[in-house]
Amino acid sequence: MLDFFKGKKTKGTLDGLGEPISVDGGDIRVIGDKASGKTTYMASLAYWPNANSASPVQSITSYGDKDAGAELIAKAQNILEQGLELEKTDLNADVTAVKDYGLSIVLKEQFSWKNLGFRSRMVKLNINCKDYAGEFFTDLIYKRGDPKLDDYLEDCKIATGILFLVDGTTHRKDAEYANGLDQFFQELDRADLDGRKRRLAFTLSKCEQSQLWVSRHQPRELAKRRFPLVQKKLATWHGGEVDYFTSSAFGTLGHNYPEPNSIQLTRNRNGTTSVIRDTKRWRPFGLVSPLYWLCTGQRHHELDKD
Amino acid sequence: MSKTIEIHEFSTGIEVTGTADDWVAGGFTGNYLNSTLESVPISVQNAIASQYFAVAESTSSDKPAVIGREIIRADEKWSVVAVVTKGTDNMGRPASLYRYFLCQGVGNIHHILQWMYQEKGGILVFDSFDKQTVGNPHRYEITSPNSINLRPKLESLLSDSPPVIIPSKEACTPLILNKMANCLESPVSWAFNVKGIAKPRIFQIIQPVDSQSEEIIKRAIAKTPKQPQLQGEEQPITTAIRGLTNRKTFRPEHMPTIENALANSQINDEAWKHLFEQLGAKDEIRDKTYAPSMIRLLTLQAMVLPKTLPAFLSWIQRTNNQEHYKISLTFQQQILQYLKQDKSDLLQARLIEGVILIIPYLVKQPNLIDPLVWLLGESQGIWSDLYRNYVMPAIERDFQSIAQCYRAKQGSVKLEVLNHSVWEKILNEIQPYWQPNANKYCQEDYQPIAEFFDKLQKVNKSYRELQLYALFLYISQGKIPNKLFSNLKRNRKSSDGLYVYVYDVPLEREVSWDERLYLGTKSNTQKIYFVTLNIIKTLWRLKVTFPFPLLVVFILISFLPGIHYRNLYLAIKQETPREREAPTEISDALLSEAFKNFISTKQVIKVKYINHFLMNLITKLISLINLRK
Repeated sequence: MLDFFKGKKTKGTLDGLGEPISVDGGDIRVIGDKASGKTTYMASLAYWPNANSASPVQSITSYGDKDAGAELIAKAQNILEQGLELEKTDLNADVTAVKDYGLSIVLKEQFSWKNLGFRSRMVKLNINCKDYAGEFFTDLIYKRGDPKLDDYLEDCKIATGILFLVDGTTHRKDAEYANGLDQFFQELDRADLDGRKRRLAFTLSKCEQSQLWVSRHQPRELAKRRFPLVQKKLATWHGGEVDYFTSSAFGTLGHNYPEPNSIQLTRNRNGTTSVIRDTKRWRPFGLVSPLYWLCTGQRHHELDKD
Repeated sequence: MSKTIEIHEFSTGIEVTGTADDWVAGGFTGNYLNSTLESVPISVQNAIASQYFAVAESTSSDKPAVIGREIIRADEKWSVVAVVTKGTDNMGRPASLYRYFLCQGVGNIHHILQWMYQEKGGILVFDSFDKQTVGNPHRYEITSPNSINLRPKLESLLSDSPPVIIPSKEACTPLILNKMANCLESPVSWAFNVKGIAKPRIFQIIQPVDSQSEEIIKRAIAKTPKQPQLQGEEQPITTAIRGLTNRKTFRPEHMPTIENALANSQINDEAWKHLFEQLGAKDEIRDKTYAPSMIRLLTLQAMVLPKTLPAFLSWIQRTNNQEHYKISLTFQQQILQYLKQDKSDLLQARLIEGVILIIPYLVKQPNLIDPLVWLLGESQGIWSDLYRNYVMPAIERDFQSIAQCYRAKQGSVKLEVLNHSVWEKILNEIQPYWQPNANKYCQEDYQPIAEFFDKLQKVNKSYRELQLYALFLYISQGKIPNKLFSNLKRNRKSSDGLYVYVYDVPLEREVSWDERLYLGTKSNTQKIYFVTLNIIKTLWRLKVTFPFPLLVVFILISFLPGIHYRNLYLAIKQETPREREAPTEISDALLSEAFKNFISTKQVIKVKYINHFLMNLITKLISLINLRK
């Protein structure tokens, strides 16, 4: 009888719903080639500009290291206020000194984990995320056996989630990436993660570019088409789960005939560099979806919407 | 008199392609370029990693920014000049490129700058084609002393509180800024021609490149709080704290850094506080993310800074989420494991201090009782381990010493825990309990401490805590419950069965007025009545019918004359002798007066309730007989 009342009380009162369910996403590493947009991704995420009221994301706040949090915001302000290009991320000689960004992402009630309970609740994803210098990825291919690289790899092995960011316009480097990934998987598979499954989110960045934007809702097909070798490598990897995502840190302008909200600076085999065009209408796309999947293992389709 | 100094240099490690006049930056190498040193001194490395030379993101330009700074550590002293310019990579992305010059000892920044101006024709900027080799530093013969005279305008600026901002329109040079910084407290730190600085607060003198930068830097200073000058020492500590707390896997290799920092007098509590705050400890208390890394960070902070232990407990208990307790506990056990293998006296001392501090803290914050019982009892974590093995035995020894001291009538006593300043008040207030003639007042404030020891003794099943529970309960209430009295089986009791001695302090148990009636009886005849009552009780239980109230009234009336008047008086007044002294001579009139008052206040005496009242009375009497047995 007592238990019945207790149960009823929790369901009926607000205190059961006030606190969001905390999901500790653990450790995430953002890796990818130089200039693939890793830092811009992180800065846009931390800044979360012009949030759409229909978006399932309620808020994104940084926690932990104040310098790191402030740095991300400062980077975002550089993009926003001054339309500047971000600096290259320094390759820190000591991997333990790499900034570890703490982000707390709160998702609104109605969209969260519907299948898990009688009523959905707010979900809070607590993420620790390290943004490696792009040199890490190129070193994987060209500098094997380097002690510094080994430290980075060791640090990667303890991560539960890998966000592999690839500039969608660098399809000519498909073979190179597949090679890098091959080396990476070899190392990764040597380390066990206490029985937990490792997840790798293959995320195409700079999808505001029109050739990518049109296929943004078919990330797997897009990856298959533009990066066939990488996709094949990912599909045959048994060390963990893989899923595909598309993202754009800058977003697009206009609904019917969208165009990238960016001004292209360079465009070559190494990809595209841009700065933001209209800072007032800066709205990133698809940034939270890979992180949600890395944390929960579930695809949140609302987060894939525009 | 001339002297030759050696000037070393090294630059940001980046791959460069092209020619000296037209080059493009490639990837960072992670190592320094063009270095004349085998390895960059640790103190300088730390300062660089702590951003003591860093300009703000995207603020480097072709116009070189110059930063001068002396780095002083117990074992190393360096004068360093950093020159920052902007480079561009093959994707057109900017990068800040640094060229560092350094000279052993302080006071040499002036000479490094003079060497550049006199022998190199001006400030030397990043140039990967200006090849340097290890072991071949630049040599410079010091010719002229530092003899710059400051303009009155610049001198007047020195009275501002640092960081002093020199308006961009004031014509200056790095040499002038260095001279100005030399007029202020050591160590020297200044930044010249900067558009933005990563940490403007850690500079004495700053000259922005233009008026817009001046505004940006001033705003940045206004919004950052003052921070302790740590000479870059914070970097390894921050890395160690991060390494220990950011992830689940314990990394013992970071522990020595924490221990060394604890031994470093420069890293005082204020510095530690700043370091933990920088990593988000203060914001976490407010924002309550409860991310595992934050739980570990606050746990570590509570270890290193014992004063933050109460805030940590109150924070962790707020959600009452067992998962949070578990994360903290796992981390505690990892550190405990480490301490057991590689002894760290300094960290252990701080942990013990935390335990010593927090118990008296309960007086101020009784809501911490439950989390503290978890911390010191249930958890089996690091604090709990040190409490059981060090603090509790020490507290026991202290009480024994005090008892011994009063027994032997010695003047001084050597204490381990109770002499701590936070225990001083408690110690002063409980001392009268060992003095038979001193005035004793109930200290209700100590109720939480009693409650804490009670809960802990139930968890730990420990007799030591049981004794302390009894002692503090007695101090706060003036008596202890009968159940507790009988639980103190190992302690000496007074012959009248009223007192139990805990560390020589006589603790009186609760004596109700009806028990006092019994205690007052002298003759065996009356004692037989109590036995009879017991039989009646049994009959009553067995539902044997008899004119019960009549029988009881008869019994009571029979033994009343034998009762000591004084005890009866006290019983009626519901008081105990220890609290207020009753008149020694009780006259019939006085007793009858007290009895009348008693009856008028007791509803139960009214006829309507008499049966009920008598039954209660008998039950109590019987239970007391059992207790006396």
